[in-house]
Amino acid sequence: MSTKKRRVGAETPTFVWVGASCALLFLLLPLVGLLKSIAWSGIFGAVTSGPASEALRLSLITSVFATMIALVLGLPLAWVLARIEFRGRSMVRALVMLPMVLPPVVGGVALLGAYGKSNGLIGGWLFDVFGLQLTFSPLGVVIAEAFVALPFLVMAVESGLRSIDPRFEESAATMGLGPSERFLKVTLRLLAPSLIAGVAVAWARALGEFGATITFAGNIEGRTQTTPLAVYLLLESDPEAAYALSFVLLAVCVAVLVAMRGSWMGRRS
Amino acid sequence: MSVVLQGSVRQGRLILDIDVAVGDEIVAISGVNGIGKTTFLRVLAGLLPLDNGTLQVNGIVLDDVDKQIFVPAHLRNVGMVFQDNVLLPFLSALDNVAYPLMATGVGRQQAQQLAIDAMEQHGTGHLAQMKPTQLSGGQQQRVALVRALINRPQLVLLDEPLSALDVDARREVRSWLRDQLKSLPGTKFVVTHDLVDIAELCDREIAFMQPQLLSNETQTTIVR
Repeated sequence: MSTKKRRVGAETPTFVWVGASCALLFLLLPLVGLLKSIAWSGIFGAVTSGPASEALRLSLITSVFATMIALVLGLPLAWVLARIEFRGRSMVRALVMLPMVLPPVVGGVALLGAYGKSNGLIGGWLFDVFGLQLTFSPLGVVIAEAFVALPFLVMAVESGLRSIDPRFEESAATMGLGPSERFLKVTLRLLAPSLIAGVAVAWARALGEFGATITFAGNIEGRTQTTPLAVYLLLESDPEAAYALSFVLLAVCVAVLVAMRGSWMGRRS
Repeated sequence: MSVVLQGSVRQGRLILDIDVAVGDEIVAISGVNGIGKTTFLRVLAGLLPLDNGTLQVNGIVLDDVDKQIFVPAHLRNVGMVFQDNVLLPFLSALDNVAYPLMATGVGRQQAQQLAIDAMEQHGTGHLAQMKPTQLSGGQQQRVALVRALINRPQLVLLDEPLSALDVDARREVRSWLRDQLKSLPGTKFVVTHDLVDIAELCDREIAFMQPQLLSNETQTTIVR
């Protein structure tokens, strides 16, 4: 049915228009405020010097590694959740989604409980055996970001796997493709849009991670101070740089949304 | 006998109890919807293992539950057309037709040449560069048929292969299909409701019937 045609008996009441307009304004106003506060002439200098550029560099590296971890761990997990029926699957799925709703600070505290050097579950062992210290290290930033980003990737990839008609893979089997060939040449190919969307949204989430990072990895300039942490601190000392960095994060997120267009968000139509 | 199948398989509420032995012929499979015709093809294709019994094709055991033998679909050399033609959406029609050849190790160029020859002979050469989404249902079905037969499979399984075609196209494709199937050795199964298909395409018919309808379980028995 065409959505443009007006249906008698289902007209949109006036107060819905008012409500929708207010909602849109509520979302747009802060963005306009941010764009208005940016000193455009000095923006390049502001993000390429001192702690701002350090933070951007660190954020870029850690978020890319975190996304890679999320991809390598998340793809098999999404497969199991989408394709294998087992008792307690909905429980496992709820557990996987937990970091999405958990306050990030709590996530950071939980990570300390697991990987903390002195009183974490396996933190002491990691340090004794491998000399690895996750807390207050760039690696810890990666772990914290991957922890919050993983569910987003699993969710996107799982729904993508569910939407693939299994008969594509079955017909590939009758054409002579073995299991691993089918996975690489058919499943992954059909999954590509969801995979790209999942990676994009996981990366955006990792890039913006604040609470778990500051709790678990701290706020050491040049070592664990990522861009969101730097924005928060610079707001006091160097607001111009804080706004400039905010704009960079905003631009990245807009780019991610554009990349996801049509694959994950707009599929409903 | 080329295909000897004795056994049963359960899918949901359907139990398919099969005992057939057929030679190198074209066999029509008929029966009402939901009676298990597609399930039967899936068992033969290796997409669905038997729950008990055995399946032999050309003297080779493909499925034997007691002896724990099951040869999966990709090792069976079947040519299958699914009910809704599942051409791979990211490949052109030509690449779809060439795909089974490439899967068996034919080089890309040679596979494409063989594929275009087959499509031209079939009158679908002009569709070669199109993506499946650009094709009509009938055109997709034609391409799916060429793809299923390109490997000269030892077992052909066609699930309502002419259903999306209009009357004229149907007549044309039917006669092409009959020539193709006659030229292939082995057993060919064609699921169809169409009496003309059964009469003109097939050597014999196996009608699926349900002897009894129980309250919460459907049982299908096929008699040879």
